[in-house]
Amino acid sequence: MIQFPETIAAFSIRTSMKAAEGYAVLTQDFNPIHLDEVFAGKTAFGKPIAHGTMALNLILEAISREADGAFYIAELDIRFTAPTYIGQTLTAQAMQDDGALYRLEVRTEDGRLVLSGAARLAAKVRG
Amino acid sequence: MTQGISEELWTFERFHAGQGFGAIEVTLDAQRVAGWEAVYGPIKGSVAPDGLIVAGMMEAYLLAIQPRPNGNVHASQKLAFTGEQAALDDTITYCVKIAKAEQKKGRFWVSFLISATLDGRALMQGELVSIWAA
Repeated sequence: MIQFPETIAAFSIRTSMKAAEGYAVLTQDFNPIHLDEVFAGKTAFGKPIAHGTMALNLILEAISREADGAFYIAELDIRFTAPTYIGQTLTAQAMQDDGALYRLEVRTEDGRLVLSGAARLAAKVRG
Repeated sequence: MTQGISEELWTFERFHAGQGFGAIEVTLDAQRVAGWEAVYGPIKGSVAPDGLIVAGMMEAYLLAIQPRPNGNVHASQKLAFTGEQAALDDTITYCVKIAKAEQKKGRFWVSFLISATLDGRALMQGELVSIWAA
């Protein structure tokens, strides 16, 4: 039986415009709210915001790096709680609640919570 | 075939539970891998990160329902992975359908179910909740 780690190492990225452009190519989501300062400046946000799933994939990647093939995310349930502005640094953390259950959060460098939720991990069956 | 692509804008009133939008195929090709690596760093080996499957889900969700109003908000997300893996360059098939569409407190809440399969093997199921703009 696998022993899940008490902590998942935090993983951070900086949401530069270059990163936003890369993420747009990745998801084929070229919404100008993410990429165009002039367009975004006329919206309620006032400036470009990162794609929401950029933070979601950050937490997936943090867990995946920790797992190194030993376990995976069986279930995940998250809410996007605030926008991330391009240029901000995101840090993903997963804290063990009980056994395979983890609390998830992604915060900006000023401590603002942009994603919160929970996940259940499962051991990988090696074929 | 993507029945979600039409001339007419996909507004909330056109949605109903159980409605399907066909299948979308996304290949985890070099362009998408480069996009992933620009954000998260190099991928080690040939196994696709789970996040690449999620990125494909977003692409399929955006492509399946067009044209769409501006200003939709991705409010929450559930994911269930099976533990099956995909490799780089694999082609993933995504199917998008509506689980629930309801108006609450003047907002249009739509839950989309999106499944990801590879050669008939289930990889992931997602439930994407969106506040639809119009």
